[in-house]
Amino acid sequence: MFITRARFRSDLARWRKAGWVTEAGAAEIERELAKGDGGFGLYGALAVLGAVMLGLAGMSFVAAHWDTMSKLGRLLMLGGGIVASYSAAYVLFERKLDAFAHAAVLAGIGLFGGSIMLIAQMYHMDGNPPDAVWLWACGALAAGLLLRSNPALGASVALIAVWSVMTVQQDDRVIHWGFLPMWAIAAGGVATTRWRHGMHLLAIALSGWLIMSCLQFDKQSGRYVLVAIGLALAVAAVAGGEIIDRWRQISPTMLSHGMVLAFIGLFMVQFWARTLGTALGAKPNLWVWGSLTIALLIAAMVAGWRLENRRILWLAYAEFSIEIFSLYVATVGSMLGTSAFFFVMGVLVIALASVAYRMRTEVGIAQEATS
Amino acid sequence: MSTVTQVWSMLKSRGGALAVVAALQLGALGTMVADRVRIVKTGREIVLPIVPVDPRDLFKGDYVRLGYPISTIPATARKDGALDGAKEAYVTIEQGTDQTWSVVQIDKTYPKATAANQVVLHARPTWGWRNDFRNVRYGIERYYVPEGKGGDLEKLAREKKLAAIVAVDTRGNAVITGLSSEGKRVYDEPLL
Repeated sequence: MFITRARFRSDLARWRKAGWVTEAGAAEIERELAKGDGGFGLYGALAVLGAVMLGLAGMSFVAAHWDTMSKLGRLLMLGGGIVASYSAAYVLFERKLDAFAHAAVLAGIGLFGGSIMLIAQMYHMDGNPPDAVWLWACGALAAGLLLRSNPALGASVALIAVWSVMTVQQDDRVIHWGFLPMWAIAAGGVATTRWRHGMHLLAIALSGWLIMSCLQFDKQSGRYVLVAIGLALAVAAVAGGEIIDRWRQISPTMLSHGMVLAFIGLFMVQFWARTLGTALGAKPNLWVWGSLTIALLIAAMVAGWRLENRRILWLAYAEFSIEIFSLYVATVGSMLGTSAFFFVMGVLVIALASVAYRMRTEVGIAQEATS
Repeated sequence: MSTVTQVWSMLKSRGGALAVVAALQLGALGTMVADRVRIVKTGREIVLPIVPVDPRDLFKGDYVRLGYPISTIPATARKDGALDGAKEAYVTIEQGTDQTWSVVQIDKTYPKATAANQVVLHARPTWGWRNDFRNVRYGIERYYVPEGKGGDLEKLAREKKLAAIVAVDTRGNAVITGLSSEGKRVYDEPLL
């Protein structure tokens, strides 16, 4: 479970007051907490933002098509910028200013992208725009892997996603399988550096690709494939979470993304045919699919509660709200049908709450008896 | 120490890894430039008339969108049935007695033999066959102009007086080397 430093400090003060933590222990914990403030702090974030702006400056320079300077001059300027960025990164790494060094690497990647655009502009190339983004992603990936740079890996994941979307925009008749090996290489880099935010970024990119690909595969059956993949991920995360987390702590992310994928698939199954007409086949039975979705969401809430994962709980609440609002708007056959549906569901959920309360009370009594 | 061990120890040091990343990126950029320079220097030069794609919105950003009569492939040029789903194709164009170029055929692979008055261009089909034609792109559909300096070019394109001077290599890759109007070069592209 994730809690903020402020929340932890207020809890610590409360525990100290209650006598659960000694004064000396609390002071040690405070010291440990202060140590954790190092690393990639505010200055690191600002340095990365500055580097992104330098990269954008390079790209705008290219877009301005400044003809006062010769082609060679412009090329040398951007090439020199790349060399200067990596040289600066070297100096900064040597001085143990890692956050600034990574920002310099990011600036180098931005200038590399700007240089690709400059060459395309110099020779009026209008070949295949995704190829240019792919080359840029490769440059970012090389920097991320060889330098173990998280910002560079993040940039590469974003570029791989853009490359995939651009490729599909050109031809949406085929699934873009090329995304997977590139994603896997980036994932290897993130696994090496154990970068937590990178893992989320990878999960978002993969989820987006799965949604895009399932719908390309076949709008009719792709929705069911999406549900199956989402459920498989969620079940694997809950059933094998401990084993998976022994390697890398990824089961909570698997569960949340599995839930999102399964819910998007179920949402499409329930409501797409209604909004898009008969193109997606007969209207689904909302009693069946609505009940299944709500049951799965309650299961997700139970999992979130058992795993003490607040993100899963909030996600389940949000999906539950969207589901019941959509069911209300769609109407289950008729307004009376909708009323009956919500009545039955309401009774079942309250019954479930009562069972959960009894189980909790019985556990409490058993614990008291053993102590 | 073997070469592999030397490379590995270089990659393990931060400075070595940074040098390799810079070299890889600069190498990729150098290859792009060298490839274009090669085509411009050694490719066969042809002059293709330009048709403005959309006179109402000729400029999009800072490039002119160029359309060519040879971008529309008639169904009669299709000799290879397997072309329908192909992402890449080769278009053979032929110069007539009036010096204009027209499409002879479209193939999935580079044709084995061509006449002296023929040139092969590498193309990417944009959509499937529609009625009796199909559109393709040759990668020469943009002409970048300096910021705010496209007025003259826009006027010439609207008057249909503009032609693109294109260099084509032996693999069908094309590069714009300049623009001409009524037989005279109005824009010349320096190599570097």
